Amino acid sequence: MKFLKTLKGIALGVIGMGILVSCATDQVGPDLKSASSNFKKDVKLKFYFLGAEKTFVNFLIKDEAFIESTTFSEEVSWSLYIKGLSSGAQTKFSGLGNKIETTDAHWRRGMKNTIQSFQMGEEFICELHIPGLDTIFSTDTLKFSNDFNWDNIVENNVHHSVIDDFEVNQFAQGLQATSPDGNDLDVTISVSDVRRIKGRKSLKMEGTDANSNGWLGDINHERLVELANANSVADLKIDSALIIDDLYFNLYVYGDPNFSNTAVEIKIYENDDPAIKTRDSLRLFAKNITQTLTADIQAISDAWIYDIQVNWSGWKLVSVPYSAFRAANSLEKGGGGNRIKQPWRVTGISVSLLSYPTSGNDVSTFVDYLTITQGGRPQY
Amino acid sequence: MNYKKSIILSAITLGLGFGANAQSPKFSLNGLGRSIINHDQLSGNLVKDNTDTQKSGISGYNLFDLQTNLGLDSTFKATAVLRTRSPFGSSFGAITNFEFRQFTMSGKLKKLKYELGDIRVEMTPYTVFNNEVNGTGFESDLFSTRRNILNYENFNIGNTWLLQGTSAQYTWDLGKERGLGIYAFTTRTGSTNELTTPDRLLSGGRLEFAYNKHIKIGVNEVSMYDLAIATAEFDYTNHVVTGDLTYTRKLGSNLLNLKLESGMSSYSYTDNVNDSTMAYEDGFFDLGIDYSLIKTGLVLGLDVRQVGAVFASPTAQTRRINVNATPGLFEDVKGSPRDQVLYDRFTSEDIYNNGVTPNLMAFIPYYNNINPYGNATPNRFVVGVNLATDTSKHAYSAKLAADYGTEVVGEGSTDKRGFMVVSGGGVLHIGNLIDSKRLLDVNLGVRMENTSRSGSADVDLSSMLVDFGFTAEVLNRFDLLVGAKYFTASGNDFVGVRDGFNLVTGFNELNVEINEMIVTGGMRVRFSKQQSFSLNYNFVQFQDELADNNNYNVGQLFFNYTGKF
Repeated sequence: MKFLKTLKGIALGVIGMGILVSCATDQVGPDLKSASSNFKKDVKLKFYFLGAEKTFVNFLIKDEAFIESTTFSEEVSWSLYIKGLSSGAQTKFSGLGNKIETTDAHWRRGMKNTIQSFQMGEEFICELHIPGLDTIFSTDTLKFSNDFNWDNIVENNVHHSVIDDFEVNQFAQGLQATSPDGNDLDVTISVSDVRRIKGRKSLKMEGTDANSNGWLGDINHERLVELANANSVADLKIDSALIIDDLYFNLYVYGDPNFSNTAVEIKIYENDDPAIKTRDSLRLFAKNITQTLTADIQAISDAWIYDIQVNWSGWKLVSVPYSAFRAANSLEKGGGGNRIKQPWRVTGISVSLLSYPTSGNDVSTFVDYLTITQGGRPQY
Repeated sequence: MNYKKSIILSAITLGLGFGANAQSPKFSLNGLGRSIINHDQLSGNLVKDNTDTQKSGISGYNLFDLQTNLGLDSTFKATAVLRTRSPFGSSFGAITNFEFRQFTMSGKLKKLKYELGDIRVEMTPYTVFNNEVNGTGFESDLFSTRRNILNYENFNIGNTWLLQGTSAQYTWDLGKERGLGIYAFTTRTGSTNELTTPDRLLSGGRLEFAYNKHIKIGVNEVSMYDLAIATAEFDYTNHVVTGDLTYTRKLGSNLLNLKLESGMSSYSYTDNVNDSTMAYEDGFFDLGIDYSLIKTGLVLGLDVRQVGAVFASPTAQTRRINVNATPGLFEDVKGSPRDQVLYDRFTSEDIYNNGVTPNLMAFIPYYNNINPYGNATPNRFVVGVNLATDTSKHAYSAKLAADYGTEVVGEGSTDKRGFMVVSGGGVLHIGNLIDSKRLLDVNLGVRMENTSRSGSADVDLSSMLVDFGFTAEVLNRFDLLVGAKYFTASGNDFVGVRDGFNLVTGFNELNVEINEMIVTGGMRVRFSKQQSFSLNYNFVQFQDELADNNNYNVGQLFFNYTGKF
């Protein structure tokens, strides 16, 4: 009997613990209030840009737009969607009230909830959904004139630098040089509008690794010092005190299951020349247009590599911290430095197409919007 | 509550099994062969005057699973299942796939039992438990045969999960009917892509103490966690710790069985992309009492359980059906994927899931709203009573159950949904009743569910599923079978939309008014207990009253030979 009493005590204690731990707040999820049968379906939506009602948005001119509704006949929950009619991009706002105020639907910097961005020149609409109603309220068709430029933008303490948006070949500020493997077949490294994720175009990379060396070609900074090319030390893209875990290299990559043996390699070049002792001396080196990261400098410098095996379907934003890169092992091309990752010595980037893990295959991918972020992953 | 078989008991059983076969290496073969052919036709206003949609087709496959068993001695046994599968219509072996379907090594070293490779894991309904798809439980043999095919193809045996890893268990006999058992496992549920996705491991175990033949106490722990890599987009960890107690006592000529389990979960998910971390804990308790009236052959049951709103136990909450998957039968209609209907839920191999998912999978409320994630469904307080026949009845079996539940915390409102489910049914073995050796069975089952909520966002959703089946052995081992299912659902609900942290961040409004009638009839030849051939015709009529052009009919002639050896 004594044991049974003990058992009873344990049982009650266990039940009590269960009740105690499962008592939490009164509600989960956002407030939900559906429309009654008396709701008047005379709601109108207004789209504001540059301080007035407009039929377009251009985030290159101003980084914000607003949507407002007329007053509802009663308080309801609402969901407002901005939908790109070509891209499929979508942004959602939701809330509870008897009106959508401009502060409720503040569209900043072309932000979206989908991986796909709104496309330059496409049409879009705003749709209002209210639970309990079979009616969807919509704006007239609007135009998305230009997306936001994230270069040199700080969002949530993350600094963004756009290296190349792959909108045009030989982009002046981006990766200027393509180097296909001359012994491979039909190698293409060129901007294309076949696939798009941000902007109108992306960089198509495809070919056949005919010589089975695994490498099909690069696109890279021509002199491999352009990242340090600035008018002043303050203008240098990479902060002097940055730690390698906070420096990210970001790239959208498109995966096609028909080419599952495709890999993309990002290679980061440092200038470890002992003569370069300060950021300013590195800047002056890069500023001189006759200077390049020549073979003799590469032989005493580090290059850092990250291989992305493209084994998925569709677009994916790949963000790789500098700490995850491995050292290049070619003594002639970036394997002879001090083997210490020094973000302030980073001067150039290349993106390569590989047939990996098996060499000799047909490979194909698209890449887009190569950026550097400092302080975290990209916020776009 | 349906607990894992006692560790102590299973270890002893295994020891006896190996003891009987321990002396010399033995090799044996067994397996399964199946041939399926179905001829499908689609009609109705959904596809009327539409020329882009396939309205008729023949498909099927032949498969042969060869299981090889090698037992060197009691310390080592290896089992491998080699599958050969050929789609119907390919000739001379073209498009024939060969694959290893399953591979396991196991053995016993004194009192230590071990398993490596593909292992089956099951613990309690709140830790590791693969919940079955609900229904009335009394469907026609023709329907349950289709469901059995899905279970086989998706590695569903009982409530176990088939996982890759290793497990071990050990027992101590402490004398005076006392014993101590320990069981542990570790598996990998997801592999890294060496970029955005880290390896994901699942580890756990159970410590069980039998105080005497009446009382058993257990402690369970399951952890699912990522092995961090620098480029991973997320870092996930979930722990579940529970304690359970089983008390069995004979009271006069009757038997009392009490089961109690309670515990907590701890969830942590770091979104490296958005640099945010979410962590939370929650708990549950479950008290079940069964009282068996031995003389009358009835079992009375009472179950009371409460599961917290954010209780997280992936291996107990993962669903077998992925409601977002497109069924293979007429998958593309007028350029869009066809939505799942009831018929797909027990016939489509394409919508079943056999992997453990860290986040709660979507569900369709009108099929089951009170416990879509099994007993471990979060945010539920449920009281249930049931009355069932025990196994002593050979002429019939029946069950009647009623469950009332509410949410623990309101979703989108402080008002809570209320759930009421009544289900019941039975099988009448007329052959046994009239002392005939011929099979003559009648099945009838019903499940009714209502979900309601008042307040700022009203909910009123009702559904009903009726099952009927009749089997008659008209000649020796030659059966004629008919069956029917009728399903209807109407009303509205708001389905929670969950974010990457498993939390409700919004709602999708659901308005439904559908009817589905499934009728089947056919024959079956039972060559032996292990081999049978069946041919039946299924007719499905689906009506969506809220959409003008979403009514359709499916006719399916289904040929099935299945043989085990």
